[in-house]
Amino acid sequence: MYRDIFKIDNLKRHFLSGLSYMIPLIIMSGFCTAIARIIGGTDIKGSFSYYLLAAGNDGFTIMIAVLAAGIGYSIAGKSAIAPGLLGGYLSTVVNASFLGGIIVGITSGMLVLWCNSWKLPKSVKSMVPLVIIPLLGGILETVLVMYVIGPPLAALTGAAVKFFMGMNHASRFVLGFLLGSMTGFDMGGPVNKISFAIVTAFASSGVWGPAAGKNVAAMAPPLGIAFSVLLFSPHKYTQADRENAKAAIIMSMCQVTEGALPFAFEDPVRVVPAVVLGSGIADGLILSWGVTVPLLSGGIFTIPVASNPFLYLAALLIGACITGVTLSLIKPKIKESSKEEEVHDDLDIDINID
Amino acid sequence: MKIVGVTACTVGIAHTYMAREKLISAAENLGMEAHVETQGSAGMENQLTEQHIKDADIVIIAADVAITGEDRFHGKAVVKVPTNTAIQTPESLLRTIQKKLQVAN
Repeated sequence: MYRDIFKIDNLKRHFLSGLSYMIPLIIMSGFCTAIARIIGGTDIKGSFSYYLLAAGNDGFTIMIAVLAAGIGYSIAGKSAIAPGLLGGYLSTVVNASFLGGIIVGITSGMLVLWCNSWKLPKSVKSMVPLVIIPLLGGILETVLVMYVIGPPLAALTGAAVKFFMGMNHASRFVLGFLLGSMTGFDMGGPVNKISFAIVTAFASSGVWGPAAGKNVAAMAPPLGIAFSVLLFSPHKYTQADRENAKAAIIMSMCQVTEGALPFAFEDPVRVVPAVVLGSGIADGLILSWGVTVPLLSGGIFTIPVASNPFLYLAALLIGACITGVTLSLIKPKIKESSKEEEVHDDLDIDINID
Repeated sequence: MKIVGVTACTVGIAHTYMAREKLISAAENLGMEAHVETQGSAGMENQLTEQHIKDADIVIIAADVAITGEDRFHGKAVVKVPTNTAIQTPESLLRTIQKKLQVAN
């Protein structure tokens, strides 16, 4: 029962579920802080922007709690939400941050699975979700976070932040290139989300350089492809590509990396390397230039709140141009027979009945 | 073959809907009937009815995350795949299912 949780595919699904609950919260909190800063006067107590900034920061405080609750929910359903939320919040309080949140999410899910597996008479069974799980959950998460995982993870988080802050320009570029190329690699898929998780871990410790890098790395792929289709080598693309490219520009503005997907599906061998290169370089430039943005998402709306809007925009355009030029260079002349799915009937799937 | 499906991806704005379109058009090509529900960031859309589920030979869950309402499919044959499988190889997916169901029967 528990071994299933730790199978790579399942673990990934639980983690992505948690992430999918957390992402809207991050975006909302990001917008609150950004709008507050744009309005100005955040230090005047009682003003709208003061409250809005505080609300945004509170949103960031509870994001790990939502992540943990989401992971727990994915593993064991509704009952795991309460212990997950509490454990995740505690984890934030003691600075065990992201990793702590993942661990408490998994443990809250396991606790619920364990309690639900007890052989009990029906009359007592209804007490499990309302009495037993909350009772054990509260105690388990408190002990776990405060005594077991809290102290070492807090030290680890602190060390990672200190290491990043002490990095020189060259090694920051390398880190940025790695994070950026992961962001671009599958254009919104699981690898992208791993990089997102690392960036969020930095952000929850108050380090916002990787966030800035991630934003440009996520915006560059659709924009770069659009450059290639509409500007650099229009004759190498079909009419449908040109329509997709226009949509991709809008998607890029809104930081929806998925805008690049129609092109990637059609021609992954050329599109993916071009995108990885462009996103990696854009992200690397951001980190080595030291640009920060207090937002994990938001597209062009993040530009006004960047520590240096000019360099921020420059990195985006450089990254997009690199993707666009690379793609235009390696794209072959157009062939009308577009690639079709090779249909066969022996995919590796399992049909289950329960 | 009658199919019901649920699609869901991490962020819920792109893959979820692409997977639905691909499944439906692949089913049409193969002369099958498909009803596919999306659980994206906009919530549940094209929600499956009890009748759809009752009539279906197979439930395809093309999701990268946990879906809501999985208990509706209790007692049905269920296939779980990542959204990418439904997007990149929809016809192969349906044919594989068809073959496996035939073998099982």
